[in-house]
Amino acid sequence: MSAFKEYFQNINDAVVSTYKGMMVTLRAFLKTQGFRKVKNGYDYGAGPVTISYPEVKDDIPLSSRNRLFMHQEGCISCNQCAVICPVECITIESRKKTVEEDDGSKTPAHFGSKPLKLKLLRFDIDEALCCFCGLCTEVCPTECLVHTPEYEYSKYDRDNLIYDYLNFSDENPLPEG
Amino acid sequence: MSDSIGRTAPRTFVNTAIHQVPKSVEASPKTAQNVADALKAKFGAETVKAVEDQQAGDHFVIVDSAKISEILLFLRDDSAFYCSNLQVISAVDFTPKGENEETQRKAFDTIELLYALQSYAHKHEIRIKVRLDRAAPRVASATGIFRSANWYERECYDLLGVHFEGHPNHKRILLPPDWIGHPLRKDYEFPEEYNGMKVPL
Amino acid sequence: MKDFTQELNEETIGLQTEELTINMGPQHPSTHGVLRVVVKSDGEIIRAAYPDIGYLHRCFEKHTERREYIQGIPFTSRMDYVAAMSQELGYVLAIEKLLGLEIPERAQAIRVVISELQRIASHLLSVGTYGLDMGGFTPFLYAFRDREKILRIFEEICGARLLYNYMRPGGVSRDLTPGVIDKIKDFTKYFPSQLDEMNDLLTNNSIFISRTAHIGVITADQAISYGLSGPNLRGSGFNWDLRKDNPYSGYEKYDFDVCLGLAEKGEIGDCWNRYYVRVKEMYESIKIITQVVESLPAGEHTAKAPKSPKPVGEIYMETECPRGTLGYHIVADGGKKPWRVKAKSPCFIVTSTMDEMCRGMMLADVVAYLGSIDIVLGEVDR
Repeated sequence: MSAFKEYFQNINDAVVSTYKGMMVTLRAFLKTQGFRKVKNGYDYGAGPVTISYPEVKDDIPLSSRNRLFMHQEGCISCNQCAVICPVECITIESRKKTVEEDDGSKTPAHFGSKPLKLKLLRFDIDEALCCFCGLCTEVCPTECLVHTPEYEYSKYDRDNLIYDYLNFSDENPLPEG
Repeated sequence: MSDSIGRTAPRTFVNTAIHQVPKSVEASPKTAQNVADALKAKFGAETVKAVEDQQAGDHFVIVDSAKISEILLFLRDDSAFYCSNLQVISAVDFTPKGENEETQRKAFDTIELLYALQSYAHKHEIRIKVRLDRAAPRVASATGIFRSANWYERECYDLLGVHFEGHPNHKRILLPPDWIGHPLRKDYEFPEEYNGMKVPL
Repeated sequence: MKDFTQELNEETIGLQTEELTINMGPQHPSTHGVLRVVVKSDGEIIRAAYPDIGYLHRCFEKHTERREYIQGIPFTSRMDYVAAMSQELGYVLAIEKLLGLEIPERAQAIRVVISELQRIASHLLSVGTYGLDMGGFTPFLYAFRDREKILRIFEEICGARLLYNYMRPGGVSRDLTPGVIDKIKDFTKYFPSQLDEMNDLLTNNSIFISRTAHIGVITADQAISYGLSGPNLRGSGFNWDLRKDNPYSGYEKYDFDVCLGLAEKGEIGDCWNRYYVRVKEMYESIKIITQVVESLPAGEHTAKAPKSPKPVGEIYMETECPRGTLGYHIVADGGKKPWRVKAKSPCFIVTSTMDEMCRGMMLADVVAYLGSIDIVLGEVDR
């Protein structure tokens, strides 16, 4: 008798628990109807949770750490970012300015407008190596090296991911932001 | 010996019944000095080499490597310690190559093995260390005392070349079986090629 | 449990059978990464299972030896890449203890919020993929929907979604803004009802229960001898949680329960109970987050710590991560770079249980067992 009872109990359990699960999905389905507008990731509750990338793009926070960007006029060639980088993706070369080269350029206003004594010869960032840890932007004293929210920059060749921030060309365009 | 679903009892482990200490045992945490005293009383004064007092961090009891199995078994089963959990076995290579002051001070040609033990009943953590000769580091395996020792010892062998006598499966674990050398030794030289493949630097 | 071997032997008397060696992985969706298991099976029953690891070995320990302490933090987050915040927390706590730093209350509270949010995100992934392993696709999507909200909060806090590099010796790298705190509050209000839905959808589903209950039972004795920790240990009914028993970062101030496997279904220590401990822990995490966010102390988000710390000493310290207790053994010699960093990962040691636990199992149950111990191969191999 008990085996007989258990058999039907099992069938009952399976039907009831599956019904409960199906009701959850049905509720979720009904919720998305009528809210067909794009919402960002913070919205809780109603609405579809997926977006049709790449036609529609999610608004990502401004603080997001993606591709690096260097404002050339702010760099004082202090080399701190290259030293702290755990994967050594930043290459900086600089030398002391000669008298002819001294054009009276100064460090940025928020860094005291001191005369700039070093000439920046090379500033390369290998974005293929970059691990987006953000340590370089933290140590940058003039805040000229920043992470931008730009995340779509895939290339067909790894060499094209080396960004030379002093010489821009068609193959190596100036990143936006 | 097999149970109803054909699962055989593990062959490699000597002790399968490990004490599950009830929470009702009154906790009495022990310090490194307590451990050193108890070990001296039990195994003789020369068993404990030193009690290493760090400026910061943990306190370590350095013991004779020949008696490590007995010591681990004693610490596991003695009601004053009840160290039922082996947290980790970690090996450190100290060589004279160190450039800093502190490692120069420690510049003995030694591999140190740390056994971190923890007691659920007394809520204390005991750190036992043995010092092994770097040229031929050999120590008895703890696999019969703690099952977790099995893979930790294999890892120590793989990365630092410590030999554990009596280990049931003494093979490399993280690196491929045909790897040459033990990478976490300080004098390890990176291979230029592996099986005909050039290693990128 | 039914005696399958006997039944098979009776039916197949006179037939010759031989053991078959099957290779599972390393590229297999149910191995949760690149784990290879060599399985010796006798028909449907497994006689031996040898896990073969090391496919994701990235030399974490060697890398940290060659870099400064701060530069090691991005490497710690790449160990367990689905619970990166907790991995970083353990590392910086060990360094702080060596340096003897005093951490401001606000920084401690932020760390608690962050690591509990991380625990929810990590458990959601575990629960969702476990549903996927057991043949249910919907719970996976529902779990990822909610996990996405946490990742979005993290992205606003520290700028990254997965590999955060947020903890620093002395505190955290950025303060929580009022906007973020509001979002966390919204999340704590929103999430419990979603978890109830998850229970309806997966936990109490009778098909799911039949696949997981009474399967892969780890007794408390075995769990202790293997040195298991976290939900795997608590699923075996052993009450041990470092947040309660050896609190760090101010966990002692908050009120929460330690969740144990209580055999609501199945028996203590089986796959279902390990799974359900994770679900219960998410409710507790919400409880902690609510308490911290309500009373977030004012003050600094980081202590005055040296830019390039040079600690001296040796320490082994453990913290309670979503997958168990993660320990760091740091040998610091007073230089800029650590002499040795060793990470004890909870997943590494739980993978070693496979050999013993899988013997006598049915072949399909290996997947159930693997999913329930919730390993991340990044942490197993480091």
